[in-house]
Amino acid sequence: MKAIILLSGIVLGLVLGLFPSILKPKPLIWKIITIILVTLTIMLSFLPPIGADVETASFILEAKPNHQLNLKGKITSLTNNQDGKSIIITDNFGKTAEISLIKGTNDVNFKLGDFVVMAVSKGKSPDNFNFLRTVSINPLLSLPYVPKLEEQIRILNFHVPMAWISVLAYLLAMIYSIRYLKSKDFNNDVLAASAAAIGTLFAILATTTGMIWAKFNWGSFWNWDPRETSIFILLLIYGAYFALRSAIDNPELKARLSSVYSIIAFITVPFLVFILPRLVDSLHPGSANDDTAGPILSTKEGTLNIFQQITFSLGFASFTAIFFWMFNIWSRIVLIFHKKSI
Amino acid sequence: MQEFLENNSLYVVLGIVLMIWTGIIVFFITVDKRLKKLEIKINSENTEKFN
Repeated sequence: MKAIILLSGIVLGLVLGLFPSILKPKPLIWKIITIILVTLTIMLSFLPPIGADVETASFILEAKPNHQLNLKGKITSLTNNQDGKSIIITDNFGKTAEISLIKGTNDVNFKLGDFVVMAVSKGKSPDNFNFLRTVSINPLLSLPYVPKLEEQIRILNFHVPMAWISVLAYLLAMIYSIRYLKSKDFNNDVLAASAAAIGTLFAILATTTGMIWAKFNWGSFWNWDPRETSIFILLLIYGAYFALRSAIDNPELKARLSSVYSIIAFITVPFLVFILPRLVDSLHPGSANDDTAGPILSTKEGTLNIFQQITFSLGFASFTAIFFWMFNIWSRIVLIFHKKSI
Repeated sequence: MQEFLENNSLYVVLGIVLMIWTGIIVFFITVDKRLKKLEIKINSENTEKFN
């Protein structure tokens, strides 16, 4: 199911990208669809509040007593005893918890049957929490709380598509290089270079978003994790591609050598992106010591709920479409220049 | 409203991201439009040369 949702996002992106043609100007309806897709991805990534169920919340707060987190559930009763006001909520799994309303927050109007997401801190017992503030009342959608990731799970929808697009762009660069070697048409060489350039841009974006994420999840921007090392090597390989291109003046030799280099360079991409980081122990999800295979590929239930999977797949579709739009504009510009210079 | 946004800064982030995205959309569309005009101009110049 997970694979189908993810694949449909990728296929949607590719269909959008290849329609009506990679290089012809895109029709207005295409642009509107792409804009709507990206806006939808952004909205769905940021709008829904994240809330933990009772069991996760008490587990986390037992481990980190000074922590505060979002708890979600349906209000099943409102009580008023000598300790002050409190509410009882029931989460999606049927577990109940008591939330004590501290003085000063008594003006909050809770209604029976409301589904609330609220920030809480540790209370007197494991299923008792102190109310801090309301995050959302009756939200349309809410996301599950992922321990350790918390609000950072939203980065997933942007970080992973960046890495995927760099692979796609390098693949496109290889295809155009093969076409150049077959046809000796300089346009194909120019297109291969533009695809590799956009691919490098997205690889840098994946690295920087990953670095920021690593700072707040692993503790430092860069610690030579296998995943970080492999993307660094990949950037070096494609950096050398541009160095090679700028070092040769003879256009025919330049196109031939860089085409061959680009084909050989792409052979390393699947190894560096998909295989090597999975063979060794690493902090990144999906490594050899990660028994869940990462939240994306994991077959365990509850690692990503269905809504998160759809948003994630939408992220793939929309960013693939954006990539093809960028490639379309850039290659048309480059081809105009190329025609002028011949 | 002010208090709500102070407590839920995620919506501020959402607003900023949407603003940046609108800027990028406008940029993309204008570049695409100008490029189309440029292509038409260059094509007509080329046909004039051949004639």
